[in-house]
Amino acid sequence: MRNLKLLLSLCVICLFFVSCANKKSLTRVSQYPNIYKEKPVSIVIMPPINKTNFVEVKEYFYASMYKVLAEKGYYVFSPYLAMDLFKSESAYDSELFIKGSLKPFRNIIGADLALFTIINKWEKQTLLNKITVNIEYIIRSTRTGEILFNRKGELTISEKSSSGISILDMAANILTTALTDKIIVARKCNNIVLQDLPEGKYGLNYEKDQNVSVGNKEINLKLN
Amino acid sequence: MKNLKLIIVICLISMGCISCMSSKSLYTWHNYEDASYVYTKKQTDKTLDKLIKEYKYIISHQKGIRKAVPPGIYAEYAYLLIKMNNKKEGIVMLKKEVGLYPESKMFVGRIIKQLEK
Repeated sequence: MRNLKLLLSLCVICLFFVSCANKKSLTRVSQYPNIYKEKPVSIVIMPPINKTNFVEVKEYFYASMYKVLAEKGYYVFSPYLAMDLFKSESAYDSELFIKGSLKPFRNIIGADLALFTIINKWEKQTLLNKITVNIEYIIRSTRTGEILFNRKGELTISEKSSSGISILDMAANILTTALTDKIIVARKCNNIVLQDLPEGKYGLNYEKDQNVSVGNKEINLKLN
Repeated sequence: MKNLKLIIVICLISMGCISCMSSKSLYTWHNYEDASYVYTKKQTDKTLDKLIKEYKYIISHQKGIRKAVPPGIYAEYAYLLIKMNNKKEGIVMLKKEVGLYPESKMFVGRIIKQLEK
């Protein structure tokens, strides 16, 4: 019995060390080393690449990344101004730039980074009270064209039935559309996926966050 | 026993402080995200008015860690002012953006030059 206890204790200690070792290997500096080398200050959000059937999603989702990037400490070009420029300069289709040269954005806007997003899923299943978004985030250097950050997130939020009667919940949903909108889920997805991004010049932990642990490249989360 | 209680209280206070520190934002955004989203979805006088009020609030009520207006806000406010034919105030806001964030000079400075022609 004593031996068994000892064995169990050893197992727990080993598991603890293994988990620590794994966490240690995945840090911001190990995953995104060139962000620390390049020290980018500013970022421009490119119009999203929309792979869903909802045409309007591109415009609705676009500005939702602004706040999270600014809170990360970057200078973010105003989405309204940038979008106006993209439309007037026929740069509205990011498909044309996602693999091409980004020098124009460096020379015309002065951006160090360009954030591309690919919206793969943007769904609301009303009967199941379920919203799912699937978005890929790619940050490229406008200086070298290199991909400095690439993560993908699928987030599903299910609203638990509060009354137990789904028709009543549906009616309540219609009344509170603004709050239960897909954009709320998309914003959460932005926050979760972009939280691993090293902090920018205005962040409190700028150049001090190299050893912060990061998550997997692909995230699949289901929240209630 | 008394010492144990003291340790627990200190731990709780420390945890509270850490959680407060990490949750504080760099900037105050008020209801900007919702106002901007609603305006993008439906551009009416009412939604525009709400968004303009948000810019004014954000500019005058910064309680975030940096105590500064977030990047892009002056420029965005200017963009709407210019769309509303208030070019003069728009240029003032654009200049504030460049003053606060020199990184914006290449882009915003070019807009200022075009407007001042």
